[in-house]
Amino acid sequence: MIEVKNVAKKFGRKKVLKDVSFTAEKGKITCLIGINGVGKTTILKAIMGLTPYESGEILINGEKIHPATYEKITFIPDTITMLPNMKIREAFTFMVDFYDSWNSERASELLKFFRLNEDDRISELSKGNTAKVNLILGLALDVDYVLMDEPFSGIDIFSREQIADVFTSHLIEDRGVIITTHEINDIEHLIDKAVLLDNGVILKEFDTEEVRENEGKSVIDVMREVYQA
Amino acid sequence: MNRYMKLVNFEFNRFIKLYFVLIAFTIVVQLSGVVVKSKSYLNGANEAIKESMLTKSEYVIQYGPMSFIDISMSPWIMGPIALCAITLVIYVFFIWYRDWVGKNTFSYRLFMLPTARLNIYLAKATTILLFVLGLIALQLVLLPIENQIFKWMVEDVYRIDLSVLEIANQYYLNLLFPKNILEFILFYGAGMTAVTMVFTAILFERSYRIKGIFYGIVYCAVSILIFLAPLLLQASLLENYFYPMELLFLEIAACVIVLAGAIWIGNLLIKNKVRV
Amino acid sequence: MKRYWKILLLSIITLVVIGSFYIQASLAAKNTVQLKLEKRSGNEEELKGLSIHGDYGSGNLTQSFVHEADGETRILSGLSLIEEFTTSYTVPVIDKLIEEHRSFMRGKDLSPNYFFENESLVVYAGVKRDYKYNSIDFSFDIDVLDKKSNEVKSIPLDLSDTETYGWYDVIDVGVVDGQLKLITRSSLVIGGEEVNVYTFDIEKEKLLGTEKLISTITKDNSWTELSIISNSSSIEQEKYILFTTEILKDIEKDGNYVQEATGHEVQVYNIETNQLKKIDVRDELFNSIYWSTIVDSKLYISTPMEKGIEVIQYDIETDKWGEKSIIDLPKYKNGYESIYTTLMNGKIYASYLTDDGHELYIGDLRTGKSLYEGKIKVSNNPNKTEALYIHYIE
Repeated sequence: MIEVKNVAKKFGRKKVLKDVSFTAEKGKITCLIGINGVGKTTILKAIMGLTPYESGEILINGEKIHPATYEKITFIPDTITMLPNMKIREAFTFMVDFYDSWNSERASELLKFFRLNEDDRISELSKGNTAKVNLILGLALDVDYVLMDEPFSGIDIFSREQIADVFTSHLIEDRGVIITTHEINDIEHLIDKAVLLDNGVILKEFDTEEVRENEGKSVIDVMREVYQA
Repeated sequence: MNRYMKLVNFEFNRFIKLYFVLIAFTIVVQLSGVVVKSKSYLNGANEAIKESMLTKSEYVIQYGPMSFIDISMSPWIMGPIALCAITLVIYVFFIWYRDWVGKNTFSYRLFMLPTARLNIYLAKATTILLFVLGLIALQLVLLPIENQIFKWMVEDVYRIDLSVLEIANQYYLNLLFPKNILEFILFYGAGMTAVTMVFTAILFERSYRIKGIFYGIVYCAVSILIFLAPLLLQASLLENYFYPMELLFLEIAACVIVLAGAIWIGNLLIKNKVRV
Repeated sequence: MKRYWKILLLSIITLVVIGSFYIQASLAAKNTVQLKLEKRSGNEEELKGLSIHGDYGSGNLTQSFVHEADGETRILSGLSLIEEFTTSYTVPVIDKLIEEHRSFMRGKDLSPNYFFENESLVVYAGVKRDYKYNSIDFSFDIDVLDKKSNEVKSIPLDLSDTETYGWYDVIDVGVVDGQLKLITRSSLVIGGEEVNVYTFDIEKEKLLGTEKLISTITKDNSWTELSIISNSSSIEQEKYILFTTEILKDIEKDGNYVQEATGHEVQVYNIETNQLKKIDVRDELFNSIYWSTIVDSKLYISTPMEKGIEVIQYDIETDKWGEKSIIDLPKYKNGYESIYTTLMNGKIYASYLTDDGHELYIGDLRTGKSLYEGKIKVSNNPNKTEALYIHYIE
């Protein structure tokens, strides 16, 4: 379980996160929803130890983050985290070199699925294909948790479908996933849990299944209630 | 092979192309310099001999002989050395900022590696050291070759022969090649201390951005003050209290303190404070 | 491993190249120019404690060196940074004092002029200079170490009217009957120089008095040059100090100004009796006074000649000129910088050029006898051309 407890952070005088708390369980897809600039990405970075925060605590499987944690959790930002002048093959070699949890078979499987070529240079890929490689770099790691920042933004419709397919496949199944989005439509049916954010504050955290069954509301219905109240 | 070594190799390969260009440039310019300088001396000599009906030895008496120093002090040799030095100084900064600049988010990847982040810091420092020493070695290989070419081109009468050691001991070059191995270690050790100080200052900036520039400058000022403290105290309050040997050891100790401080603070920053 | 070949290759080459360079350097360091003294006659004991300073040129490189009595020649211009930093340029007597009284010697100005040593005392009398905006504040810094009790007494003394002085320095320290005597030399802001004697009571740590020995003045186009001749590298008691003054004038000759000496005076000061006495020196001998020494109560003055050195004696007590003696140096080749003479410790030392290299002569002033004669040879000379200049012997 990833536990975010009372996390607060500011950039200069601006408070980007004010007392943010939520949890994300293994085996579930948790979605951080909010318009751009409400602090979604900052939360992911804070979980990954990529940005400091002033107060609060974040625990992964009950522990604070330490070097070995990166074999258990990974982050797929909205831009590629590999050197652009590398070929896909070289990027994979890099991952083999540094991660024990890198699963080469899974990587080539995904490569085939996305119809990508190992010898392509990352800088020469289309935007959609770059996003796919970025996705592979995260998903081919045998980790418990995957954090994804806006995986669908600015990507063509076909790539979007392919990526969405991945979410329903065995690649995601047992893992805990945190995904951020400002545009819920594409993935509403995929997510198990929604966390609504605005201005660095959690407005509502709810189980999508429960809400649908008990109250007969879709995620969008809840959003409309919360944000327009 | 552990992750630190892999990181060193990785950082090394990231600069290798430009490094080879530097090496090639140095070789080409320095070797041409030897040829050009020797030729121009010989031309001058031949002309003067023709015009004023001098013998070769009379020319030498009047205008002086040529030694390799005339070549090694020229921009042909010093230019490439200066260029290499400047490139490496710039790279001390760029080795960090290249992971952040533009759309590049490689810093995410580096900081998400399952290894102590200090290894990244140390790997970058090691890479700089390797590049510096590599260029020093290149110059040591080039000097005897250049000296030999000079001997082939210019006849005995015109020449004062110097050994590579004598050439290396001349001013400017002796800054690159300290007299003995102990001094070499101290000299380049102090140099690496300066590199780590700059690294830590960069991490201040990367952690606190605009405010970090200020912190970085203050940090550097304090480090330099610590480094100079023995000398400053000796010159002011203590009025030459220490004997030279004691002062040398104090200086080495001050340098070690600065180095340890740089790595310690750098580690804290990269572990807890750095932002991608 | 295949992916690592570049870095491994570079590291290995670097290590081998730099390593072999420094192995070569350390071998070559043992192989530098060495001076050797080859005895022709006399006693090699005379070379003990002697060091010869000079420049050695081979090719177009000139190197300064010091040749120590133990037979080692150090190339000064070849010193590494750290050696340069840690090499003491102090004279052996001061090195010995540092060894024996390490903490007393801390922070002191290590010129032998400021020190005095006898069986029971070490005295340091330096000048502290506090640099102000447009003047210097001078004060004495006097420490007396009792060798037996290891006690240090400091006698503080601020100099009055320091703003009238442009420079202030101690030139000799002596102890006579429990009284400390400092001979100082100072230049005045308005021009001219002074020599003063300060007398202190060491027991009471008190200044007893000062006395102005010599003062010179500067006029529009004439001035007086003051020289002090004493053994500057000695810290033992010296009985006499020699002062010379020469009045110089700017005179216009064919449109150019040239200096002309219009008068001179030689005086000798007896520290023990506090007496300043004039010595009558012939004009032609005056310039030779710089190559002179006082042994017992006799002043010896040396002048180089065509094939040797002439030494003249003067008895200070009886004010009488004594006999001339001549040191024959038959192979001496007269020329530019071809001889260097120094008189000290009752001996005359001369290094001079002959047709086949340099020679060293050591003679006893009192007896006029030769103590040592030998050749100065240079080994490990890598080049065909060479030049040797000896400019200091101590």
